[in-house]
Amino acid sequence: MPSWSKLLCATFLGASALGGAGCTPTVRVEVAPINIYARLDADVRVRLDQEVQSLIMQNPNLF
Amino acid sequence: MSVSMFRNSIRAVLLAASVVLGAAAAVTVAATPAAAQTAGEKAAVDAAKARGQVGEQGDGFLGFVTPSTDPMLAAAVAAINAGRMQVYRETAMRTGVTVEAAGQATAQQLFMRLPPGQFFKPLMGDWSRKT
Repeated sequence: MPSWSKLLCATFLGASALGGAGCTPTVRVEVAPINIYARLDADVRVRLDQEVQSLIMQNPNLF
Repeated sequence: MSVSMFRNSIRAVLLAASVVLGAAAAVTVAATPAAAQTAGEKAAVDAAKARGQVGEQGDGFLGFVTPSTDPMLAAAVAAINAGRMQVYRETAMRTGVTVEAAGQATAQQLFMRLPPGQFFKPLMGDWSRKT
């Protein structure tokens, strides 16, 4: 019997946790696709551009 | 008894390891012909790009400007896009950016290299012909 009450308690806690999660405000960050590259830090972008340059050179079958 | 059990478990671990290594080797071997095939696929895609049927998208992948009825061309585009996805993933890991960023960065350079008359499609926009 005590195990049943434990189970019931756990179920209730779980349900309330889910309920709580359901109530958390969802912040939807809709980033326009173009921004992913444009929003990189300048130094990261420079390094990425260099990597991409050699990537294109080294894969003539793909580009 | 326990020593033999220990030996058996060692044997099992070694067997499992060799199976994993063998599978990895098989994957590597299987990947090679796919890479070799892309020369023919590239030629088909290049011809379609010259015709204005296939173009470069802002996400770094190839796309159809006009729908294709040729399953071979569709397969070639899919194969090259799959290969691009793989190199974008590697570049993304090396530079610590997302795969999408790597693809978009590549698209920027591909747009610049695109011969006049061929098509490109910016992320936010429609197909346009390079002048």
